Amino acid sequence: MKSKSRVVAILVAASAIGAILWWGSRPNGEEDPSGPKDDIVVLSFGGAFAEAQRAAYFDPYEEDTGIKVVDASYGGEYGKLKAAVESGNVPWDVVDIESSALLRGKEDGILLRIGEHNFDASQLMPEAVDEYGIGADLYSVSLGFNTISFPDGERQPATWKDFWDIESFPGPRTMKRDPRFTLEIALIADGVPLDEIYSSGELDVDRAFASLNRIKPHIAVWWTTGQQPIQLLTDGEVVMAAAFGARIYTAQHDNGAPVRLVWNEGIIDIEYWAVLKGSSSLERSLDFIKFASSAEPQAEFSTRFPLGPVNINAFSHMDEEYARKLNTHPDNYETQLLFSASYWAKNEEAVRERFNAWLGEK
Amino acid sequence: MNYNEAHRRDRRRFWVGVPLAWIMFGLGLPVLELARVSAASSDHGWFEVFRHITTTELYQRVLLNTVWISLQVVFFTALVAYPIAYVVGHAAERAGRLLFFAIISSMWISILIRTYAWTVLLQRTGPISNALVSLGVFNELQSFMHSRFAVVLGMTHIMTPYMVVSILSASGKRLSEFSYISRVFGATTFLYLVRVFIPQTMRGAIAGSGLVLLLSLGFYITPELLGGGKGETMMIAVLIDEQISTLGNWSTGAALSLLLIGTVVSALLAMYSVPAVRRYVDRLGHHDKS
Repeated sequence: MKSKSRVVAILVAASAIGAILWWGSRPNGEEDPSGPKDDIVVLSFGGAFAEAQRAAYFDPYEEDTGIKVVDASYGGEYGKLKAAVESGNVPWDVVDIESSALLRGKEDGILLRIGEHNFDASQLMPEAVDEYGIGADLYSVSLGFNTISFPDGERQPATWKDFWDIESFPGPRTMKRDPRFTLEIALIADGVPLDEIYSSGELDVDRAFASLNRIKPHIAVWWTTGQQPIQLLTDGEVVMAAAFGARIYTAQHDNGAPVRLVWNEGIIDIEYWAVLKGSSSLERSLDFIKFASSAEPQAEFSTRFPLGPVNINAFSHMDEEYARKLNTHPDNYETQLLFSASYWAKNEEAVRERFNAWLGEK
Repeated sequence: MNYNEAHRRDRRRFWVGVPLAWIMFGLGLPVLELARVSAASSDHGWFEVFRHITTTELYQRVLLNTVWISLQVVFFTALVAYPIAYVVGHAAERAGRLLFFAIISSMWISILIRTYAWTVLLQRTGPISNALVSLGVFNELQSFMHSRFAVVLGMTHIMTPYMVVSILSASGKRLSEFSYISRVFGATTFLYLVRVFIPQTMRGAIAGSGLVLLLSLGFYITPELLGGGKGETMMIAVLIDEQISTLGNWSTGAALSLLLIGTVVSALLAMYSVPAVRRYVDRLGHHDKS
């Protein structure tokens, strides 16, 4: 019958579509987990960042050990990691995560404890060593300004107070649409000394919002992707930005954009290597992390990508003039505020809700 | 009801049912799974999460904002799409096909790219700003970005092809015949528009409005990039993404998703409850008879 053959045709078409979708949804660049493991899969942030990691960590590790390093990329979404652990399908041996994700992961119990594994951490910054993660590098959220708006020879912004000073430095600004970093910056601008921002483990949220109220009319854009503020600064759409320091650095030094980076009063945060529950082998993952946090690869990475090393000895393997420009160089490190992931792990949900509501207030 | 009629209806049920099942499979299962996981993983219980998001001003306001922006997009899309549909519908066959192809082809370009194109056009140093300065409208360069205006403009641009296609599909190839016949009977262009063209295409415009409304309610990337992250341009998808991706908070994320789905369904029901709309939609099923 005619309609019967039609049903068959539809079923065939539907299974074909299903098969294509299934095939297309298989993760790329990841080995079949059932096969023999002679490689290690590292989840990182992609782009120029991962290229620098490949040159500094992945390729040398392959040469040393014969173990192939496969890199996968993500946008730092904590939800993706949690979902992988909960579904019992963890395709990555090592993940590169932000400090907030590390803290949240500990709380949710999705990370493997690596603390007892006799890790020689004596060369690493003590702040960057955690029971559940080993520091990979440090990034800053820093002040950047446009040098056409504020040229050399005239007064240039140097502090968050200047960022708030509309009279002396007129023009639109941009900040991260994220209560993290932004509230800290608001408090610094309001005159709270760096060492009192997290006094007794808490942040003065009310005072921060009061301070933000004063700058709010001048924030033209609340940015969400890292390259957004750089573009806005370069194009002159804004005159000042609170943005990722490394990105301002690259625009200024490598791309010759009319922007200037200020390390002073930046908020500095640690990125970690961590291992998710359900990863195939903790030993193998740790072996890679040990290599990646040793001095020479760390120096190589920081030379290729302007993020500070966690290994204190890395600086001695670097060009001294260049080392001085990095955010963890002692000269710069002391002028910055170390981000408190533990405060945010406890308070982020509530404060983020308040921040979003505040954005919509007139 | 004769045999043919019943047979035809069965066939129609089949053709509607299979795709519908496919869609529900792709939509329903994940939503149910999300609800299950969230109910299991929430510290406060499913009900408490719902109570929180429905009583917190932030979520009410963002949801209202989402609906309001979407309605504006529907309105402006219809406004832009109607003249286009008129021209395409009445063009000579070859030209019409070319125009139709040109409109459809814009859908091949990713929404992200089309959104970035608008950032280039609207920024302070962009061509629009420069042109207005050289025409003497403004004294200095102006940015049109990072406002609700930019968001509605960008979304309208992205949605226009859907509306044009919907309007044209309602009347198909018969438009030029209608136009010819109307003229033979002495109708002016205005009369033709009001008495023939608009009624003939109304069903498509309604379907298109429904489609554009649904798609707009879930928009994420365009309001993010063109809106500059301000409160007035925040849409509910942004908050859902934050809950799921950033916080890994399944319960609130799922509850917000369900709220969005509920809004979509209510919006459709509200549209259907307007008598005039209902008349047109109900006629859909009896198309073959006419």
